Amino acid sequence: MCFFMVKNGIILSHFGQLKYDTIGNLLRKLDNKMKELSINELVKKKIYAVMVECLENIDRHKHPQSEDLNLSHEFDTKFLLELKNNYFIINTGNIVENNVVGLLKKKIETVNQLNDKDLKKLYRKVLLTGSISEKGGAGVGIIEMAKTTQNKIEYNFKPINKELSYYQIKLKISNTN
Amino acid sequence: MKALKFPATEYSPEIDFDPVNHKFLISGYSRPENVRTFYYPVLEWIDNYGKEVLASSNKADFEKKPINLTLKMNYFNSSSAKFLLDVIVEVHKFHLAGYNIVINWFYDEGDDDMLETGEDLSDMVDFPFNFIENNN
Repeated sequence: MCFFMVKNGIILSHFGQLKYDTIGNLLRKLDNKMKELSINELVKKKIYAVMVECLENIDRHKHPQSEDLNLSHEFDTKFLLELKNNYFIINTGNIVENNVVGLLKKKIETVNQLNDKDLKKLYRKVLLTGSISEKGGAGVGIIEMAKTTQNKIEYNFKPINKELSYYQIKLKISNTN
Repeated sequence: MKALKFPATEYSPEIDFDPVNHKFLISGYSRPENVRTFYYPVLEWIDNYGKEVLASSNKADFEKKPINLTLKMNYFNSSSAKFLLDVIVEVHKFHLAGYNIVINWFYDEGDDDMLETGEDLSDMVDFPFNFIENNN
């Protein structure tokens, strides 16, 4: 089983609506898989941290679901964790309203242009000056992802219609600590 | 004043705030479903502690036995980070008011992310933490 998973590369996957309880289930599965694969505890912590930020972001914003909108399965909420070439790759996909696309792009582009030192400065600034939104976000999720992965966040917005797009992000975490 | 105690769960930390011994502990995982509902009572308790306990105590009593905030986190999400900073800021206000305080930050061996986050928080409030490696 273990050999199959390493060869295949897929460690965890979830498709369809994501709720708060789903996050706990996926984190428990992560724990088991990391033990099975004898992954370093510190690498596991990084994956755990990035996973939580990705999944909570999807859960928090209660994005429209493809099944409720009669859209094709390619627009299902998606979470995938794979191991490829000694990197853990997280891919997520979810539907967002087009009016937030500009803001999300700006946030990601900003953190992608910063080096470690400037990311840290931005993290401090947002933590000190930001407040917790009604939905429970502190505005530091994307910064946290970039800080933890130490890699650029790859993203894509695939237009669905006039109101909606499919938001995909890809994050890489090195399997060497 | 009553102690504030919440048991640890897989998504929320143990809270053990003891107003008699002036010891405050936050320990475990923090990614509660509603971060505001979880941390507001903690911040409110600290505020009341300042008004009820400290206001009627002698600052000199804290010289040998300081107010002790211990953060022993396995993991906390980004919105919990904001609230942990708020807790630290509130306790740090006691220091600014002339009470002796100590802030302990525990981290696992080799966990540079957790250590650096503690260092960041320490810098943000401009107060030195004790950084302590967990004994596994």
